[in-house]
Amino acid sequence: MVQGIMKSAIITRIIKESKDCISIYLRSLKYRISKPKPGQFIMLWVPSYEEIPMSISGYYGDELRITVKARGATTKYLVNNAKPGLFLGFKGPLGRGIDDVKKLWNQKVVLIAGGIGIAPLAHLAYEIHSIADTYLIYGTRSASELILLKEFKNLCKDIYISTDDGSRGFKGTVVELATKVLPLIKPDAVIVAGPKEILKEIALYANKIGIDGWILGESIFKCGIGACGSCTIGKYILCKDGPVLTIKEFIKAIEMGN
Amino acid sequence: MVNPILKTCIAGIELKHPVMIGSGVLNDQPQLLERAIVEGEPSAIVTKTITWEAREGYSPPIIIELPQGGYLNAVGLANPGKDSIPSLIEVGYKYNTPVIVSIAGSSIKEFTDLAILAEEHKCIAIELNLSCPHVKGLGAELGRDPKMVYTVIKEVSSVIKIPVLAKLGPWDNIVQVSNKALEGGAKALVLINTIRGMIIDIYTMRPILSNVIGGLSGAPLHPIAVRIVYEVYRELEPEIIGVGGVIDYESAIEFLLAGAKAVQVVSALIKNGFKVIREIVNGIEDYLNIMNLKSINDIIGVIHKF
Repeated sequence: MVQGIMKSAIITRIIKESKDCISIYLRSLKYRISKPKPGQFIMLWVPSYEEIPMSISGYYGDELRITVKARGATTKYLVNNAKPGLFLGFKGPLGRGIDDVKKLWNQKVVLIAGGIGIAPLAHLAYEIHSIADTYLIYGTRSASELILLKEFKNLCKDIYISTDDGSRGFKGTVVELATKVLPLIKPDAVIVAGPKEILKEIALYANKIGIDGWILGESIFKCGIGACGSCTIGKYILCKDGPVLTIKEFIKAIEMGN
Repeated sequence: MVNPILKTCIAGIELKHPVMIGSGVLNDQPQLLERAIVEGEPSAIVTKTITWEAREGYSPPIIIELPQGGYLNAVGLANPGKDSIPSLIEVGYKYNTPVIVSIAGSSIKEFTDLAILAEEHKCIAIELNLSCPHVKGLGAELGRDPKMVYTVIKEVSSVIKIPVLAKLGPWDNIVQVSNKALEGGAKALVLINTIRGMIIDIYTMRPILSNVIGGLSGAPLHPIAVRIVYEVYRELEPEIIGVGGVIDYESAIEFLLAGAKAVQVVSALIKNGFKVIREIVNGIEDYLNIMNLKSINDIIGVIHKF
């Protein structure tokens, strides 16, 4: 059990995904990294900046891929300055992921991403596309923010896109698009990642029309190992009991407030 | 086989068994206290240290698991402030489990105001955090000065009727500080707090914690804590709660043998969850059976008889 240890790591490769978004390939210098379960995350430490939670967007044996969008001071620094050879540290893989993806065998699964929520769904899509009929509903503000689409095209049966400004696909929010598309696809499960509001609206909608599934929760993660309590939603310590919650667990958590 | 008696008593507070949840991890929110009680069944819970004003704490990294075992943390006494006290105490009454409020102040007035507030809300006892190792003005400097320890405890004890427990750090003059704490009116000593430590990443050549220095907790602390409980008990025979690296029933029993009447678990909750409390209690019960002992009292301080 070395998940909570800060592992020294080096950046091996950077891919520019969009104007303010990059993918970083990270290699751990000492510890072997166990294969992350879909939805698990790392706490990435950028010296002189902060330690922040990061979704895992890919796993390649000795390397992890994370996909970073410039939002706060730490992510802005990374997007502008990260380059191969830079040393960082990380804890992880952390938290509860989707335990047994084999259960999705032969099922129809719809992935729903709002914004940078697409990142963890990429790792998930690689894990399930060969056993489940995988669909993607993906929304951003504008076409220029859409990322990783080439990869998803090889992994999904169908992709539905929304942009707030209508520059590509459906004009409107990903929630609006999902409420149109889900009744047509009639999936066995949905898996949702993105901002809290989107998680909440999709979870309530899916529950109402009787579709099961999971959300990849968002909160403030300070320690990432279930010790500080800053990420608590209801009675769930999201970094440890989650970030993957079933839709039913998530609805219970938001009903409990905070 | 008769079930051995696990009941113990600290500062006049009856405990159904000797395993409490100590201050530090996940105990400043009512819903988490509730969960800790339901899943762990501790005999009592000490809250996270509460200060008068809410504190945001330091920026991450704040807690690191160590390759050698245990943890290093510099959370910076993050807590929701005095307004959280009533709801935390309430959870204890709802589940019939004593909730002890841990407090720290930057002045004697802050200590006494917090203690009065907790007593007004029917708190059963106060734990004074006199030893937080990584926050300036709120602990460490104060805790190693026997006179200051005496003064703070004396002042707090004089304004409330409920018992005062003093949590002390692992200082070299711990016997002297303990003596002064008892003279000041502490009904029991909580030994020990974390030890100041540091961890450096060799590739970035930086200290990992944002605060640079943090408090070492968990298994590596245990032999030091056992030694301190042993020495303080040998010299003063006070009521002691042992804390530091209790991760299983064996490490708990060592504290009891050295003279502690109860123990607190903190770091082990991170890895093993609240259920570790029940496992430790069951382990102690099995141990007493194997040793053919009728009561927990048969092992407290026994090491000093040899």
